[in-house]
Parts: sequence; C-alpha cells; structure tokens
Amino acid sequence: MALRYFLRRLLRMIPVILGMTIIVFFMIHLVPGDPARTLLGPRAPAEAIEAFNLRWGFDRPLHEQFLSFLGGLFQGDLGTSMSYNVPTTELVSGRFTPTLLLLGISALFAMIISLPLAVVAALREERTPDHVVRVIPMVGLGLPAFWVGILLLTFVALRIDWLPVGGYGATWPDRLIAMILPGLTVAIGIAPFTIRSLRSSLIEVMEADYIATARAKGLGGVRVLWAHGLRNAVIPTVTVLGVNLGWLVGNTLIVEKVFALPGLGALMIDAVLERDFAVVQGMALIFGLLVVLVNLLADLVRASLDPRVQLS
Amino acid sequence: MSLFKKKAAIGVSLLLVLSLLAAACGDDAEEAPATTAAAAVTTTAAPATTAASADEEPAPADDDMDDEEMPDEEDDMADDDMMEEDADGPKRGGDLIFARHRDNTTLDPGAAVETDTIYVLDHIFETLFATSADGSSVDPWLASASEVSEDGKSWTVTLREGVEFSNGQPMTSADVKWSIQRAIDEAAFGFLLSAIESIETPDDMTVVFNTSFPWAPFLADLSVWAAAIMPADYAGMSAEKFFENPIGTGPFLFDEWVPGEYIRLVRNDNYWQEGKPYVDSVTWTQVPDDNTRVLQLEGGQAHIVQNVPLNVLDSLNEKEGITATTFPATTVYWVSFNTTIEPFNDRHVRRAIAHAIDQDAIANAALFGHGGPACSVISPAVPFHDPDTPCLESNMDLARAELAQSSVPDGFAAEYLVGDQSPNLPIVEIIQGQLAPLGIDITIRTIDPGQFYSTIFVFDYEIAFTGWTMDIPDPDQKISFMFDPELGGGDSYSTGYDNPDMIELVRAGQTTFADADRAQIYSDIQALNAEEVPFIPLVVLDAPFAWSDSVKGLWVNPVGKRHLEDVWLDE
Amino acid sequence: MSGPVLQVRDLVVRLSSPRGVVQAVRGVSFDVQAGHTHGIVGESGSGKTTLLRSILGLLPGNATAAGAISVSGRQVPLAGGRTKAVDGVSIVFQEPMTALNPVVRVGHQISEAPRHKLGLGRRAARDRALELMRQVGIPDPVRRFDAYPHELSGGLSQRVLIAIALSAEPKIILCDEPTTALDVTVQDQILKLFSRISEETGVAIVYVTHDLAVVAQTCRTVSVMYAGQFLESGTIDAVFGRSRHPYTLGLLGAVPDVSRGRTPLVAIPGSPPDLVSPGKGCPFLPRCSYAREECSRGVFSLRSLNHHQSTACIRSDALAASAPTAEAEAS
Repeated sequence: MALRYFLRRLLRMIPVILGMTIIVFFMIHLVPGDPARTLLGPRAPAEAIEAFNLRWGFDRPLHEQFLSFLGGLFQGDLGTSMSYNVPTTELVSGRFTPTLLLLGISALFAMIISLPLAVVAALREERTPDHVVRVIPMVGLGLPAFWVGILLLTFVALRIDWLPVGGYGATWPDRLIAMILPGLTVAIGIAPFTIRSLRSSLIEVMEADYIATARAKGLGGVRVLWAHGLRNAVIPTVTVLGVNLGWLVGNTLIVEKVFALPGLGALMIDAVLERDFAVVQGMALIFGLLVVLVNLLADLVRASLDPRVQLS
Repeated sequence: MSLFKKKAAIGVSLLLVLSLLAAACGDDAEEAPATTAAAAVTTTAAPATTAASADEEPAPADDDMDDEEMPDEEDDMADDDMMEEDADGPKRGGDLIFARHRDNTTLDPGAAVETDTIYVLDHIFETLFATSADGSSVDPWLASASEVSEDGKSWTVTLREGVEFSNGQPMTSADVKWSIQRAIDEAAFGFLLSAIESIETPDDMTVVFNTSFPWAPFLADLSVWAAAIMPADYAGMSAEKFFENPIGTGPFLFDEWVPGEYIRLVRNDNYWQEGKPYVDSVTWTQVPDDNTRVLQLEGGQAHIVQNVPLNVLDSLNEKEGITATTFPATTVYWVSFNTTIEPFNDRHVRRAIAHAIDQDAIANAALFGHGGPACSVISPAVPFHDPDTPCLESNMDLARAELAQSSVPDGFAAEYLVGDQSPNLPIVEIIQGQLAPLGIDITIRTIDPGQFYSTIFVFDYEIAFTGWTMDIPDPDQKISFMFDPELGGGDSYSTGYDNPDMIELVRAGQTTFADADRAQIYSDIQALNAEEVPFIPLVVLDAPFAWSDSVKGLWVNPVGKRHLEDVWLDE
Repeated sequence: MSGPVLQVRDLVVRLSSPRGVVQAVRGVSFDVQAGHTHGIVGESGSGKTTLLRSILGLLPGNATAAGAISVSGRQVPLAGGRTKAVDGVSIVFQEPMTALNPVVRVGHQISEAPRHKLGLGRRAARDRALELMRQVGIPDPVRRFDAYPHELSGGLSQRVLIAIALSAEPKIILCDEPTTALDVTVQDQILKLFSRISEETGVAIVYVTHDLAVVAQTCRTVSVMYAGQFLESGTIDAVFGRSRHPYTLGLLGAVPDVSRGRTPLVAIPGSPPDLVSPGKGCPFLPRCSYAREECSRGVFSLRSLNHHQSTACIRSDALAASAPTAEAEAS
C-alpha cells in the first residue's frame, strides 16, 4: 500500500522533474560564461579552448546539444562532468548519501530539540518558560548556519576527542558520529519553525475532548501528554518539518562545506562556478528528487502517525 | 622571512648537501636534484639558515588570498623545526594528512588543469626536469643532464640511471618519447611543448628533442606536469584502465580516491631516491571551508593545511605546536586596461593611475601583512625578476601632472571589472578610493567568476583585476601572453596592448639562450611595462600554509610543488 | 451502602476571563447514591460542564473553587490546572468522534487505564478491554480492538467511550450529553446500556443534558441547573410531575411530548443572566412570568419541600396552585 503510493507519487513527479531539468539546461547554457575558459584558465591558448569545445560538443548549436541531452536523459545518462571527467550519475550518486544522512539526522535532531521545548512552552503557555522558548529559537534563526557550525566546531569538536572536526567517516558508526554536529547545526536552523508549530498544535490538542477523556481515565500527566497530546500534535509538525527541510537544503549545502562532508553541496558550488553543465543538470534533478522525497517521506511519516490519512 | 634569506639558506644548504651526497653516492651526486638537497637540509643545514638571516633584504612577501592561486613556494622551514630534526634524522612511518579546499578532479596529468590536482599527481608521476627549491632554475630530475645544439634547435637529454616505474619496469627513452608525444597530442597543457618538432631515441638512456625554432624556455617547458613520464603505451593497458591505478616513477603509489572526500597515496618502496619517502602514506582530504581546515589542524585531524586565511595566520602561528607561515609564490595581481578604447589607449591616463595607486597601502590593508607590494610584472620568485625595475612612484602630484597631459585632464568615469565574491574585492575598493582624488570615478562591476575571462577576452570591459600564476619556472609563457598580441595568443592578455618594441623583446627572450642576456631582455621588458603600464602590478602573493610540529621537512617551491617525499612525521 | 458515593456541598467555581470573573457555579449541593442515576438538566452556559470538571478534579488553570466534593468519602481537590482526574470518576463525552483519540487504536484506548493505572500486564489489560467491549455490546471485539475511531460508527464509538469510562473501575460515571450526537434508535440503545451497566456494576451515573426526555427515561433523580445554580431538585416524578419552579415548568412546556423521545430544548423568551455580574435576587427573575417584587431581593437557594423535592422558588406554593397541567402531562 505504502510502497504503491510511493511509486505512484514518484511517477507523478517525473514530468515535474523533467521540466525542471530542461529549464535548468537552458538556464545554465544561456547564462553567459565559458566553461572552457573557466576550466583551462587564461593561460590556455585558443587551440586548447577549441579542442575543449569540440570534445564536449559546445561547438554545436544549442538545440542539438539539448536533443542529445534529452536523448541521454531518457537512457539514464546525465552526461559527463567536465571537471571530473566521470559520468555525472556516478559523481552525483556518490554524494547523495551524506546529504540524505544529514537531512535525516537534522530532522531527528530538530524533533529532539523541539519536543521538550515545545512541551514546556505549551504547558506553561503565556508564562515565563513559554516566552523564553518562543524568543530563544528566534535568535537561532538569525544566526547563519556557517557561523553556528564554526562555533560548534571550535567549542565542541575541538574539546571532545571523539567528535571529529569535520569530515566524513569510513565506517557507518564513524559517519553517524561525524553527522552529530552538522545535524545539530541544521537542526538549530529548523528548530524555530518546528518548535513554533509543535507548541501551537500542542496547545490546541491539549484542549481537545480526548485529552479530557484520557485524563478522566486517571492517567498521569506525562502519559496523557505523551500518548495522547504529542502523538496528535506532532502530526502537523511533520509537515512543517518536511516543508522546511526541503527549503533548508540550501542550508545543508553551507553546512556540508563547513563540516567538510562529501555531499552534494561542495560539488554543486564548484559545478555552477565552473559551468560544469552536466553536473549542474544532474544536481537540479537530484535536488528536485530530494525535495520530492523529503515531502513524500513527511507524508509517509504523517500517514504512519495518523490513521485518518489515506495514502491514495 | 625574506626571500633573500631563503635563497641564501638554500644556496648554502645546496652546497653542503651536494658535498655530502658526493661523498656518499659517488657518480649520482652531481645530478642530485635540488629537492633532495633541500630535504637533506633538514639534517645538516640549520646553522646555515640561521646565519643567512643576517643579510635580509626587503623582498615581497606575499600571500595567497585567492583559492585559485596555488603556487606556493619553496622551502623555508621554521628554524626551530630544523633544530629539532638535527637530533635523530628523519623517521620512517606514519600517515600524513594534508587538508585542502578542493579535491582532485582526475588522475591523468594530461587532463589536469587545476593546481590542486596537479600537486597530488606530482607525487605519482615525475618530469624530466623540475623547478628548483627556490624557483630560480630548472634542474634535471628524471634526466641527469642536457645539452643544446649550437643552433639551439636540438636538445639531447640523458636519462637518470636506475629509475624504475612503480611496476618495476625501468624507465627508458622509449617511455619518454611516448609520454612527451602523448602530452603534445592530448594534454590540455600540451601547447607548452608545441616547439617540439620531433623526438629521437638514439639509445635507451638518451632522448633528442628537435624544435622547429630555437626555444630558450625548453627545459622549463619540460618541467610542466603535463610532460609527466609514464610507461609507453600505458604499460599495455587502455588509457582508462591505466588511470584507474596509474603507474609512474614518483615517490608514492595511488591507493584510493573517494571523490569529494579524500585521495590517498602510499609509499613507493621502489622509489629511486634511496630511503624516501619517509611516511607510509599521504592522504589529501577535502575540507572546503577555510576555518574548518584550521580547526582540523588544531584538533589534530590534519597535519598540514593549505590556503590558511591570511587574517588568522599570525595568531595561528602563536599557538602551541603549530607553525603557520607563507611560502613565496609566483602570483602577481595587477590592474589591466582595455587599451583598445579611450581613454585607456592614452599612456598618460594609465601612468596617472599608476602614480595614484599606493601598492604599500594595498599590501598592508588587504593582505594582513603577508603580501608585498609589486613593482614588476614578474614575481620575485620567478627567474629573471628584476628588483630594480623603475616603477612609477606613488605620488598624487605626479598623478595629477600626468593626467593633465592626457586626453581627459579633468578625470572620467570608468568601470572596474572583478570576479564576484572575489577575495580581492577589498583591493579593488582601495583602488577606487585612491583614484577618486584624481577625478576618476570608478564603478566596481562584479561578475560571476564563470564569466570573467570570457568577458575580458571579448574586450567587454574598461579596467579589470587580473593576475598570473606560473606553471613553469620561466617567464616566457606569461610574458608572451601578456605582451605579444599575435604569437602570445591572447591579445596581450586581452589588453590589446601592441608595442613593436615590446614584441621584439619578447621574441628575443624566447631565442636567447645565455642567462645573462636573457636577464637583460627581461629587465628591459619589466622596465618597458613600468613605463607604459598596460599592466599596473599591485601585489605579489605568498602561499599560506600551517602544519603541526610533528611535521618535519615540509617545503613548497614557488610553482607550488610540494615534495612530500621529503616530509617525515615525528609523532 | 453507607452514604452517598458522590457528595457535592456548596460548590462555588469562579473562572477568570478577559471579560472578568465568571461565576460559573454558584453554590451547588447534591448527593448521588451508588447505583443511582442522577440527571442534571440545563441550557448551555448554565455551568454544567464546569460542575462536571469540578467533580473530575480537572478544573482549568483559570478556576478558583470553594466548597467540597467527595467521592466515596474522599475529598476531590479543587485546585485549578490539575491534569489528573481523581480516582473513581470517569466521564463520557457528547461527541464520540472528538472524545476518542483519533490516532490510537480503540482497543488501546480502552486497555490504557487497566494497563497504566490499574497495573495489569499487557495481556491481562487486553483481555480486560475485550471484556469491557463485550460488556458494552460491541460486536466482534477482537476485530474492533485494532480499529481506529474513524473506522467506527457513532454508536459504536459511544460504546467505546463507555467502555473507556468503565475501564478505570469508576464509582461514578459522568455523562456529558452522551447521546446528543446519535440518532434516535442508537440513542435508545445507549441509554439502555447505561441503565444495564448501572444495575450490573452498581456504578453511580451523573447524566448531564438539556434533553428532558433522556433524563426522564434514565434517571432516578434530577436537578435543574440555571445560571450556575440548581433551581429545582428531586425525583423524576416530583420534578417533572409536580414542578415547583417556573423555569422547570418552562422547560417542560417546551417539550411537546416527552414520550416521543429526543426533543430539543426550545428557548424560553429572554436569555440567562451574564454570570460576570449576575445581580441579586432570583436568577430567573427577568424571564419569569410569576415574578413578584420580593423575587428581586435576597439569596435564592434550594429549600426542601419534602423528601422528594426541593426548589429555589419562593413562590412555589403559588405555583402548585396554578400549574396543574404540567403535572398532568408528565404523568
């Protein structure tokens, strides 16, 4: 059921992503800028530039380039990276995991941060703890991610031996450890949104009849809050998280750079600057997929939390 | 540390080491590459360095503010390092971690165009000739000697004895011929070798290169990374297969590359320099963020980091267990003019601007004391730099007087083109301020770096911020590009500057073989540019590095080559 | 049975609001015996819900209360903002759809109290839940155990709520308009269920509604609530048959035929007083056609007429003479 839904959603995204890829193709090709000159530098003589353009087919008219791009696309070929000289699919798929891992861990951390704070704020609505919780994350919102990242590296990673100062691990346990601080950095960026959402829905939920029913069972406050309040309040927050995660993919790129994670971020920045067309196109596709995937995941999580949501 | 001091130190070291080697190794001694010498300095030459510091002379220090600038310079290790190393000599073993902002893009020297890639490949593949430690000369490396014919069109190169590829196959003239031909045919930078007309191999250890015209920079051209020596016919493999696990003569073997993460090389036990390399492996990690790289060094996660932000270099150097300093590099930045349009075709205008620009102020403000003001278009770390180039004095009165003679005595408005988010933007802003009193109203126009060169190459600019970093230790590549609109292939680096006197000098530099004569020619070129200023040199940069005290023997020559076979770890 | 299972004495509850302090409950007293069903009738805004919350020990944070409530002889804490109900009291709400947690399987909602309050094991709690489901007449309980509330009909949901109410082994079940949302036949079944449960388990039921027919069908005693006060109290026969309060009479007059089942409360002309400043005298005074000048003075509280009936109306004697029709109709 869920799988079929998943596949159907993916299928439905194909035209959207295809359209996006095509737009990106024309955007990157029509923006002025010469990959040959950028890659080879001012030192390269005209013959080298010509040879380069010939090799990559830039001497052909744009519509021809577009057709061969489309042809490749339908065969799952996104072209070859000019800087790395390897197929874009290979390059990009290798970078996909760290970014996905970062997004996942960030979402987890965002929830871990948001839950207690939102609960405190909601249960002490309009009192001091509430005001504190509502103001402090806003400060976090104003801090740029790279700054938070550097602070964490300087004041946490440098002092805790087992936390790496950036970098990705060779083994999965290492990688998870390496994700702690970057995940925290992104989470600090998302937390203001999730806390706000969770707080307001928790306040609403705690007024609901079924909370009174649960309390009338004579259950403890913690049990009621956890099993009845949060379980319902979290549902809209999952959507907020999904929307913001998609939006914060941009933030992830910066965080990847600061923490030296071999994700899509570094690749993307270089590719755009160097007019590495194939990679930029591949990235557009991947980011489109990523946003869809995150939203889809949010839907699936919502469905698993809320039996009323029908996946169809 | 001044350049002069370094030169002196290296000179003395060289002598000491050469004599040591002569005693130790017999025949090979006189061809001992400079690098060997410099590395050996670590054990013997410390007193010399210290002594040499007496005769300092102000010389540009520089810096590398720009990620693209790689060339860093030669040796010069902190004095205390050398002292420590005196004790026991180099230790073997250890895994060296070198953090840098970019990863490799290829394992093929022919495809490599990007300096960070090249600096890694330098350790797998080697060239016949190599830039000396101080950048002042080209020395035999995989070659042992060379001789040029009377007409200057035939170079006979004798190969070094006992060099084997990492697969055990001995290097022969056939490999050399094949490799150089491949570079000419396929390499992105093969154009540097385009003077070669034919290659002969009279015997296994001799290669004769015939050039189509007398070509003075020839040996320097052979030192370009693209001219790397590899086994003929890729040792029987396909090119693709070969570069999956490349075979070279270098001190390290390729081990693993995870793009975007790290590339690791391990020791080549078969390396021709006896006893080297010292470390078991070198891992270059990609750490794009400048601050993070520095933090990794502090946290012990990296041994050496490059492109250290200049503003933190001094404070980092104060930290316990860390040395942070710069190596001389070849990068010079300048103001360049579109001399095909008014008023920049008027030399009085260019000279007025040159008088108004205060290079000292720029070097102090923008380079945090790590760069130096530039006077010549040739950096001090490049052969034939003339320290006595007669530059135009920074003086507003002279500037006004000069402008008064021009077509625009009351000033004008102009656009100054610079790369978007360039670390050099502050320099441009300073110049904007310095030109305002002349009535020159500068608008800074920033442009996506991906469009920068394609914009100036079609002359769609008025004033631009450009510069040059050397690939080889010979000024011709750059000088012809800057001043020879026809043969240089770049419309005089897109200035359109076209001066028959200058062109004549440039071409004379290519065909004059005697060093003293060439030096005079390049002095004349530097002086003529100072007079006509199609390019106004601003600053020269150094390459900032930092490393932990456990790293011994690190040196970087001015074209950026790091000889990590000389580095050892004392952990 | 020694004494009433629920005793409410002089309960006063004030709620602070942005408009001022609302006097939601103004001196209410009543008892309910084990196994009995007591109805409380009133319009919305009469203070019924606040009264129920007081009994549960779940007054909101903005409430202050005075007086005393005891359940099985144990005092109910009257502090506002408590989040845990007192032992022995359960509640069944009006809207089963909103009173059930939409994201938790109904079986788990029923077994929750046995498991987490009564301390049964997982297995035992499940068995207990299935037993309760059978007891409240849910067919095929094993299958329904895993259903979510939105998969059940209104009637079944209400049965689930009742099962939940029973699950904590209460002495008293408070019913807040438990059948209003149901259609007539289902309503009838549910009412019968309440009666059966009350008989079988000896649990006391407090039934709050504005539906007189429901009260007449299920309750032994009834109180009529208005503006935070009880205006009349007594056995069903007495209050509905021989009402001694104009408000009750008004309500009864608005009921065309009690036997016909569910009937909405038709409004009596005028509106209840603002409980922020209710004024002096009889709260029903402005709407009362029997009012006299003395009705605007003093405090009006229940006074006993006989064993079966008490009223707050000082003109109950005059009423007795002038309202024979209501008596006739009710009987």
